[in-house]
Amino acid sequence: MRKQIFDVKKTSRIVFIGLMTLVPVLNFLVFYVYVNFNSILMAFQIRNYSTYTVKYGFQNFKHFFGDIFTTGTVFKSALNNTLIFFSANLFITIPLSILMCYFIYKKILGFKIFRFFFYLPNIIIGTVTVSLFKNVISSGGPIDALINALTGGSIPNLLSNSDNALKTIVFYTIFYSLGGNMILLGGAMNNIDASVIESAKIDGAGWARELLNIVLPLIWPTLSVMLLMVSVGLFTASGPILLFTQGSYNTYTISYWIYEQMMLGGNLELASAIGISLTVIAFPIVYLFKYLLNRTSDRIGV
Amino acid sequence: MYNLVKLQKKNRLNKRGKGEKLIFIIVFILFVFYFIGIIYPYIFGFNASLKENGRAFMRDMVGIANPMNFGNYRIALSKLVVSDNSFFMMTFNSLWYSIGTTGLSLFFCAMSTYVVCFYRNAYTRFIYNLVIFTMILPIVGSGPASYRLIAQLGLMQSPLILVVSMGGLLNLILYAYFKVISWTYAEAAMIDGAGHFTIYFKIMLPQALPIMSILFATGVVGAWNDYSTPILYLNESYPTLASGLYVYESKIKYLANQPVFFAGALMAALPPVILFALMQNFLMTRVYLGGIKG
Repeated sequence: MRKQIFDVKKTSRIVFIGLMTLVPVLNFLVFYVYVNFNSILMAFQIRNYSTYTVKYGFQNFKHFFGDIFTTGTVFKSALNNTLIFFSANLFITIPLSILMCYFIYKKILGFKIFRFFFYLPNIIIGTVTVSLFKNVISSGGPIDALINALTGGSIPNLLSNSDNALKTIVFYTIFYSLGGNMILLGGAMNNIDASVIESAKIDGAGWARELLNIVLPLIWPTLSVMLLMVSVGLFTASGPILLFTQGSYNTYTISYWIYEQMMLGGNLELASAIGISLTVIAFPIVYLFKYLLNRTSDRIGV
Repeated sequence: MYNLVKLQKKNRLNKRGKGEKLIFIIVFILFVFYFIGIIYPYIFGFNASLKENGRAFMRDMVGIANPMNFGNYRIALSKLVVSDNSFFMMTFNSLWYSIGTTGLSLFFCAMSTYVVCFYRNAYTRFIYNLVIFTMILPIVGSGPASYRLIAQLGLMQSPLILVVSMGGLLNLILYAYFKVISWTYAEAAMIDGAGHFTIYFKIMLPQALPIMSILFATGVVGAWNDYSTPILYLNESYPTLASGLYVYESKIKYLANQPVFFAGALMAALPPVILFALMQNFLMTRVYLGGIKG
């Protein structure tokens, strides 16, 4: 009798686990496993749209690797631009975000207002912010008027120009995403035990020492996840290219080029081959990064 | 006496040295400049939305609108039309898309996260490890295969596109929150004869409602602002405000009625701002993400 009751309990537990995970598992199988499997297949397909036939081969990979090492091709430029966006995020946006969050956490004068407004671009539709930004930096716009008033000159062409377009989009991306990490970093900083900070203060630690030796190690679990996620986006880093230039003036990134193929009904097979190739290249890099983050975690004991 | 000691300690802690004060003043000034940089484009947009018409805007982009034409907001509501969808229809599409995708995803993901957290066995441990593995798998371009599958399933230009979001095996923020909820409540309910579903829906889930509401709000804001997915899958029949504004902006290059566009754009931007203003204190201090070392 006892055994029977135990079995009923065990069965109901298994049924419960199965039912609770049923839809997410099915969704995962269809929209992750199947999609990625199909992505690999598509990478080897060469579709002939006039005869409606499909052949298999390495042509897409040859095309991509042939172009990526050739100066002046769209893929080489897209890869360079992607790495620029990635580096900007890793080396500029994240460090500045940490500093910004630290001073807000330290309740700098007006911190509540700053906190709200610094996060604002992340909750306003990108279409709106980009459109306003484009007008602000356009000829006849406020920056142009300011330059004219101060120097008598005029604003250079920042978007319809190959020398400036990418720099402008990178600047926009950094400037408007600085506050984007505030929820996670702010949450982590607010979870720091106040007595730890108090002890450091009593021991005479200044702000820089407090940030580097106390706050950073204590928020490391959150920060390391963020850094890991940035590394995962090594080849998908981008800015709002669609809203600014649609890839004109040497502003393609890998992810925007792939997106454009979907939007305009382009070569999806070549796009898949690029995706697979870069995934294979990124895999060891991300794992090396993860290993380094884990070693850092061990060193600081979190 | 005790209060006096406490006050002295507080004063000592709050007291900043000269160098530190200077740093805080410099940072404050930088913050003010950054604040102006962030806020100015929106003020510019508001002023532009009140200009008499497109010609007046092009003549003087910077000057204060005179007279202030609030009628542009009314015009935007009726004339801002994309793929036969009025502003109101696009608002409805945005609500459908943002609430639908976030609600479905959170509903199913919470169920899975709950069992992964509290019902430890080989299967749930496998799900946990699988999610961590896929999270750090740097997949670059599965978009084309996804796009083709969605087309094959007949979900293109269909409100049923929401089914794609009925997933999510594990949410790490929710997982970290579940982990600190005591299982004792569930045990007590079990002794009283409650089943697994009753425990989940009536005891454990209500305790996670604060974090669920934060995840819901941030998810809705994210989906409301997402323009790239609706441009691909919905724009010809059910454009959202975010994707519709993109199409409309490309059109106004020729029609030159920017003030109406800015009026519509600012109205579209308002709901997430209100939602965020209401939740910002909670949002900025309570969300915590544990590490995923291993």
